[in-house]
Amino acid sequence: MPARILAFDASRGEEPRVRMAPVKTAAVPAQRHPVERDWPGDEIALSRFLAGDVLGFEQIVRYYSTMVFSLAARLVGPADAEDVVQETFLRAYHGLGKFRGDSSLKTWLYAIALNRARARMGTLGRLRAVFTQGRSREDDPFASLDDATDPAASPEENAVLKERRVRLRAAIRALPEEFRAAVLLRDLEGLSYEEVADVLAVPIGTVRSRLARGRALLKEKLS
Amino acid sequence: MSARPSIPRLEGEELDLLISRSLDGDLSPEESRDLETVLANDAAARARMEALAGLVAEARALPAPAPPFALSTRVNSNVSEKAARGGSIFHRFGFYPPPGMAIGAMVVMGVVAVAITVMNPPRPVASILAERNDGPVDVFFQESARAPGAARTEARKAKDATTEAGKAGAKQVASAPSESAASAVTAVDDVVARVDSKEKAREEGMASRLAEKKDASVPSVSPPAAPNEIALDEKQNKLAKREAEADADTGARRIRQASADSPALSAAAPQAAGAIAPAAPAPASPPARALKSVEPRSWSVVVRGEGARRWMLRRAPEGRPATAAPASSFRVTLSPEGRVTAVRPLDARAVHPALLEFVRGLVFAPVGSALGGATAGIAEGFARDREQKPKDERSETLADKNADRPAENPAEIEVEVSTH
Repeated sequence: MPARILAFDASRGEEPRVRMAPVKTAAVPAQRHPVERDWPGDEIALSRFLAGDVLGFEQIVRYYSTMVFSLAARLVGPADAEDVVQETFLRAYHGLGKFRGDSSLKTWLYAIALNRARARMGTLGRLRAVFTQGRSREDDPFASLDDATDPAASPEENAVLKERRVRLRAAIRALPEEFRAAVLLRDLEGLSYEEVADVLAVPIGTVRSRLARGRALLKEKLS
Repeated sequence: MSARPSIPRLEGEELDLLISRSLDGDLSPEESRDLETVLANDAAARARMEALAGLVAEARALPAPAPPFALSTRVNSNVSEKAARGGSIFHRFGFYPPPGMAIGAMVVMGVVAVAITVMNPPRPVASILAERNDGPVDVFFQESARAPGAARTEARKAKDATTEAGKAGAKQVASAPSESAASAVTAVDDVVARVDSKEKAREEGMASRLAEKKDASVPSVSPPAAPNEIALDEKQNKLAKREAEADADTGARRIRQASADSPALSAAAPQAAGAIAPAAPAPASPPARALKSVEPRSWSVVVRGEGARRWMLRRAPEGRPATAAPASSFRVTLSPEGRVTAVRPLDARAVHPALLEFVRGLVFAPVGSALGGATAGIAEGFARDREQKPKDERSETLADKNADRPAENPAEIEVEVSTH
């Protein structure tokens, strides 16, 4: 019996056209971050801010700070992620006047956060790598990301799960920067191809190839 | 015979790309069919598909990092703290200054202010007021490479003529060796130096004699008899001329003595004596030794005070005024034709007699007259502007001060001669 392919785009809200029995896949969740209840939407918040209303920017921060923090924590670790978030929104505050709306506010903020994280990894990251080389795992800035446990699972299962997560994160961090960003944005942050292309400022075809090569490299590292 | 459907061959990156896109639901129906066909016929491809699907599912199942407590509140307070200084005010006008722009603008403004202050130091108020009141009219002359003093000029002319004459005389030049020509030029230089020193001594002597004469006879031309005032009388002029001629004769005699060895130098004697040089043929080549040249300098004659409205410089004597100081002021009495009839130095220091001679030789023209030539219109415009300019409070104060002073003699003007 031939395998059937799951062919649907969860980000567009489509129903899967073919039900897949043998191949185990994980659908991309439609929304990975909690929704702010009083979020008025990009346009209204932006127009408020541009009109001089501070509340508009506060709403933007409240809605997007969690997403930006998530990306930053996966790139530079939770310890430095808050600094990246601060820098991202400070830059956004000064740059929102020039925001033309060609892309969504979300991808624009992600792009700023990615650049800030790259800058931080370029200087502090290398320095830290020099000083923490050969130390215990407790010094790993990403270790706290995998502390979450499944209350329904046994301690052994949780330990195995944590070990797999640690390995997976380490493998993702070991990817070349261009593939790592694509994999993080698509598989971990749940962005669509178009959004990833907006954030990375590359064509969609490049996103496809980077994802394919990144996943293949990831598989090689884990096998 | 049944046609077997063609099975697409996908390997390596191509297969990975198709699998990756299929995991994201990015395949078209045709691509999905192709992939299905491949997976149905290739167990390795199927295994690859399963492995990658499991990996992607595991990555997507990774928990999102939990944000720290009150992250958005801290971000908002931080942003508002750093951007509160005029940020929202600027935003109301659609201006979003980047960080540090205000500091940069202040630094640039400070640098510009310092540069302006350094390049344009504030002028003293007194000089500004004086300029508004006096309004000097400057006439500048650029002097060519000529020696100061008539005797020096004549001597130089004689020297040039001597050289030319020496070159023109074919027999003399042919017979004279090059050493004699060089010694002739050296001799001429010595003569010129002696004439210069003689001229200085003569000027000093004349000044002392004039001072003695001044004690004996008070000039009748200028009404206010100042202590160091010198009037132009014909006796003094004659005396000066006679002394100059005597000096020239002495110089010529010395030149004749010096040129005894060099026949070419004998032609310099008449010129040194003040005679007009004979027309010499055009020189065949430049002289063997270049004569000393004087740096060209400029000088100016400024009519100051109320006189600048009525009189302007029309003509100046030939030559450069011999001034010891950078500038010397005189009160000059003019005849109706604009000629200088009396000169009174206004400076406390002693004035060079040659400078007095120079000032006496100045000729002035009434402002606006046809004698003034092309510059008359300019001077007239200056005067008109000065009259029509709306007076501010300061100039009115000055006018009031001037009103208290006695009216100036219309035939008297104040002249400043300066060199640059």
